[in-house]
Amino acid sequence: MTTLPITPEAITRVTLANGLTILVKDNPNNASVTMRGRMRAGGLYDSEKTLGLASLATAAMIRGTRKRTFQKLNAELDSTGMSFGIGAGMETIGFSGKCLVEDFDRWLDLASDVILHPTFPRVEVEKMRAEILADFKEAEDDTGHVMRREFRALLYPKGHPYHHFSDGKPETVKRLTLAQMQDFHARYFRPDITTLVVVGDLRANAAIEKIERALGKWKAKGAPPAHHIPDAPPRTHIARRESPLAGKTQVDLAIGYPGIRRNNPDYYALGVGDLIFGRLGLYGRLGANVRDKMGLAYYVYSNVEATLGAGPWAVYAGVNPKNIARALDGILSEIKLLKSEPVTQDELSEAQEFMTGSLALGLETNDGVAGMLSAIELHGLGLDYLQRYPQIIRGVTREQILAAAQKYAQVDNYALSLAGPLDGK
Amino acid sequence: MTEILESNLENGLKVLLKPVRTSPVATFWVWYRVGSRNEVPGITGISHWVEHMMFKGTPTLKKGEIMHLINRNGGVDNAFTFTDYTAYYETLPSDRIDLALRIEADRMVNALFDPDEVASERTVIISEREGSENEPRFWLGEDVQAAAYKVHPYHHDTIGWKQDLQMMTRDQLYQHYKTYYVPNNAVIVAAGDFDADEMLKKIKEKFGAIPRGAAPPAMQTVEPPQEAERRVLMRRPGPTQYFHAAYHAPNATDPDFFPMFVLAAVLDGVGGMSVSGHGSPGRSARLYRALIETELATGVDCSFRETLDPGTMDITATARPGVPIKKIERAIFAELEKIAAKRITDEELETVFKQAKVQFVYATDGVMNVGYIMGQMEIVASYKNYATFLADLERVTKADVQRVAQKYFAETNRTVGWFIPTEGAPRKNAKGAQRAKRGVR
Repeated sequence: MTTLPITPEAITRVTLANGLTILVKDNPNNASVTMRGRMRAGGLYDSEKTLGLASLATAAMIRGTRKRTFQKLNAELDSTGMSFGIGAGMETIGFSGKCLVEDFDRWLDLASDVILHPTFPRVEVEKMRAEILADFKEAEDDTGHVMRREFRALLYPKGHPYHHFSDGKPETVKRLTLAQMQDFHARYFRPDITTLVVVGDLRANAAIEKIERALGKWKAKGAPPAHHIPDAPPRTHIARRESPLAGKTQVDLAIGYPGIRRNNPDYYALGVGDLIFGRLGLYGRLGANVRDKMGLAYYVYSNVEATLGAGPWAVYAGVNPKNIARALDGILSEIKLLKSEPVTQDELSEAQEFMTGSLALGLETNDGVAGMLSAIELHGLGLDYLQRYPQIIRGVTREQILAAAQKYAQVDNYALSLAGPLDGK
Repeated sequence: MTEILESNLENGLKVLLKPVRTSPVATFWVWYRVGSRNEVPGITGISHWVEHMMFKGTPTLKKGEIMHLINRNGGVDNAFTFTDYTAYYETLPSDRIDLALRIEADRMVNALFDPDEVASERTVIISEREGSENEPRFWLGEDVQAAAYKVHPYHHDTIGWKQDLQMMTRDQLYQHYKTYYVPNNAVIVAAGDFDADEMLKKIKEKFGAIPRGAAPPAMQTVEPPQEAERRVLMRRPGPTQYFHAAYHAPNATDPDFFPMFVLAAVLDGVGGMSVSGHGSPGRSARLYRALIETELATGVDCSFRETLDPGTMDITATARPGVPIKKIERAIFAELEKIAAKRITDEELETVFKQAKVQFVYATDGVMNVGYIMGQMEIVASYKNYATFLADLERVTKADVQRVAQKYFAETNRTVGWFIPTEGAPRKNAKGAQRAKRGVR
């Protein structure tokens, strides 16, 4: 095995005087450069009345800047093949891009223009708002979207950031003002809560100098705003919601409960357990039972959304309406099994070998390295994380997995959301 | 950039190797020259279903074992089926790549097609189709394609008609497998961290003894020229109106291919070339300016891909609520007439060249994508295009683009579909796709 691309020696990490943290990985093997930026801000700051503000304000930033109209910005991206995207989630705002090495300066000029100097031009923002409202209407017809939205509403109480999607609701998005968007940008776009990762055929010091020229003047006033996602209250009952949609053939469903934060000490035990339960190979145990043996679903898998807050730990599946009860029985029996018996030694070693052995695959491309670095930085894992990782994974025991499953998996207190051809009982 | 090394085994198996020694990773593919274009009514969807059965066991690798072996060796694997091919791959740490050869050599010949496994997979495949049926655009796309092709098998989507999926038998599946899964109908592609001579030696050891099969039947159906515009009007429950126009277009080896590639890109930007394929956003391209900037539509797309037989160029749009679909159609046709009437600009041509160059660089980051592009090019044209693609593209002139616009954007060459939402229950017996690749997962 050659050395890992991410080690303390292989990465240059600096924090500029304005608080912006930069990580650079020099990779001479491809003529492109990948950028991943992340700010610790987002929809968590929206109130019930301003739901969707972070998302709308962020999306509006490319609609006009001090140096570029929306049309000029688009022409510049298209004529160079560069990409630049920016969007707000609940916990973080991400921006990303890609370009040829030869266009890196140009990309930085464009990115800093958007991040520092958006102008929120009325005509363009209104056009965009109308597009978003139309997208909402289309999403109302999308079984997967409706299922997920209602699942979150069941799982997290009103007032909790995860009760809604970060893009808000039509009622609130209609009313958000330009002043609110400008204010959001002024208040929350700050270098001291931002990380920029750059991976590509660039020498680190030269890249950092260029970034400093482009973003060094970005200043923050005062202390950064508090960033906190509360825990969901413990569940006390089964909640089931059916969302009937006309003209559909298949029901999309989610069944689950609140999971854990990324920094929870149970994270690795739960992660390995969930891999065995519903992801490894063709959807783990769930796939072997509900798809392969019972033949009930093309897709059935589980996922732990462990980030700055405790997202759902849930099972997702698409099934024919006549098979809902059987599919749920199959899923619930797998949840019960995970809670009642330790996984087998064979299952555990397979999961461990996969997690440690496949590391190189994800780090083969600039995008893969950039994504990993960005996650390492967000969760404070340290640049030696990948060197420690195999040890951490091999240290997970069957007992730890069982204990984590017993602590977090629920068979009497779950939320269940279904959307599709249902009679709406 | 290293060259692609071609070898041909005595049993007719073609081998394409490209060492890329930048990361300790390798990818191994087998491409079979069979897809939904080799299907006739009654067995539509059979190629895709056969692909699913290839994960269901052989005498030496029982069901599920492939997956466990891949997991234990830190790899990923999958497969997908399209109109023109069925492809299988494993990407692994390079010191483990022998495993891929073992798996693929075994299932080229020994897949079991256990009747019980066929039965449980039937409902899985129907479930895959039903997932697509939840999308209004799937229904419209499927019907437009069916109208655009009267006799050629591009008439049906790779997933197949549901009635065929309900009726097909184990023996039909097995027969299809035995007919097309022969070394003389397959191409091996490997890219990554290996020595080419050693890899070829291993391939010969594993695959060389597999006997050549009878030559699979040639697909000889030729779509008769379209004589008049065709129209599909679909009324079903849905959130908004959708537009879909399909124009018969040249195949990947036609001299018009590259001018059409440029034409599509001037309309909507250069598409992505990798497996997952995010292309240029195309927000300065003509269709975006004519449909989105003017607030007629919320989405517009022009898709043109390399196919073995003449495929279609598809222009799709999502109407803004309240905008009559007729207006969307007029705006799109006006753009197509404009590009046929007047040459594109130098700047537009340069933009396409640059975007294509950049997309190619993006798409070749990572050996899996390299393997994908090599194999896909070989099936529809030749792997040699990997080295010449950009140079061939850059020979296209503004006059070429105008010529193909005039030739293919004729009213008589198009099939136009409108999706008009209704309220209430869906009509019975409505048929239902965009030509998505179909994979095991």
